[in-house]
Amino acid sequence: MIKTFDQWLEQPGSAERLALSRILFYGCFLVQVFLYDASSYATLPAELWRPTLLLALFPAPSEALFLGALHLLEIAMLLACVGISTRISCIAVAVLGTYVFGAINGYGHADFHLSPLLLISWVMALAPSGDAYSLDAWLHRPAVAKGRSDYYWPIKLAQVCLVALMGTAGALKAYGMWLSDPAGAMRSFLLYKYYAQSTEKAISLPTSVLVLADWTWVLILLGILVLTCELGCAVALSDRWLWVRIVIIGNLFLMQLVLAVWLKTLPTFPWLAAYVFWVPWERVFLRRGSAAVGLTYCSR
Amino acid sequence: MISVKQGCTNRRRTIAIAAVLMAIAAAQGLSLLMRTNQLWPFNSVAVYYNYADKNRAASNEVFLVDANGETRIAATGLADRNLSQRFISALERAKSKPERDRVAKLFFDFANGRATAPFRFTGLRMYRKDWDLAKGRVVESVLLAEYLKR
Repeated sequence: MIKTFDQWLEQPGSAERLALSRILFYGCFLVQVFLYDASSYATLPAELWRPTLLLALFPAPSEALFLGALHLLEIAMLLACVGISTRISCIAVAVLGTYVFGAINGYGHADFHLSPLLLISWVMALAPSGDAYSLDAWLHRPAVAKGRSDYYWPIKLAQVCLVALMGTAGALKAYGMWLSDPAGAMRSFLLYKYYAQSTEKAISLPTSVLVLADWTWVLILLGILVLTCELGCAVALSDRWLWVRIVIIGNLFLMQLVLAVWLKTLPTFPWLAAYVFWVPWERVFLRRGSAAVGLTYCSR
Repeated sequence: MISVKQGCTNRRRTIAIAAVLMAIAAAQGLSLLMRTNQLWPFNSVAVYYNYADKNRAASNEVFLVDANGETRIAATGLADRNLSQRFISALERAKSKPERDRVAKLFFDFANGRATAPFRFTGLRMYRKDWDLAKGRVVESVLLAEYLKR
């Protein structure tokens, strides 16, 4: 078992893939922080402060402290994205992000909106993600060993962060109504979004939601698809079946994209940045043998 | 060729990563079993997984009050649904009507503090609305808390 784990983890990685993932991840994370309107939480009354275990020893942040930490976080994200003092910037994002988003979730209501991104930011804080496509690399030209597993395990761990949360969501759905009545659960979910939640948000959703709610067979298929992909996403961590990974992770990404655009959940459901670690960017963007930022292209 | 030193470093790293993986799995598992979000950023991700009646749902709605009537707070741009959730959670914890009304006052003051234009509102009301999803309409509306400026 240890040997299998070692084989799964100790594979040659690509500095370019990790670096491109870093750029996309922090770029998307920064956009998401703006969409989330994090600064609006600065003036919440201290009377509501009921922190989770992580910030249990901290008092409610003052407006100045919260906004200061938030602005530092935004700067750190930008620096991490561009690759200036990359390691320090990534650590700053993890620490400040934990504090800022911990505070946002410390007023008696903790949600999962930014959970995977925050967990991944801790992985990235430990990863050598600035060895390529960074200002650091351009200035210092570090020696990049071809195919080091140092560039591989952060990708795997970032994938685990998404899978852990998705798997939990799937397990709870299976325990609830989605296994016994997928069409009913899917219809109820859509109608809840269309009527109750959109009223709370003061937005209007397209009437096509109501049309879909009448197609029972489509709802059954969608319900089963949601459940299968969420429950089965751990299988996508295996390197053995690439097509399984493409089908499961591709479907989860598409479903979240549909939720974000069609059901207008983009500001509050920002898991999309977590998917950047599933794409072999070096194969998408780079041709074999090309040199980038003075670094040798790694084939994996 | 991997040197002995490199091999030891790799082994230590593998053990560290295995420990991290187990910690993530344990924290997520605990969140799921206890159905709690107290272990944030680990979370039970309880997304619309169960219901007593698939045709029923509840929404929490917050209105600002002025001379013309009520305006949904989300429509004013002063607080979105996410922000409102913090106050609604406090409302759910409140044990008496005065405590609930105190939450409404806190929310009113918060909205007032966020307003960039002159604040014309004189009060705030928090409702729970029960929906019949099959018919697409509210079947019951309960006023949970209210604050009206004197």
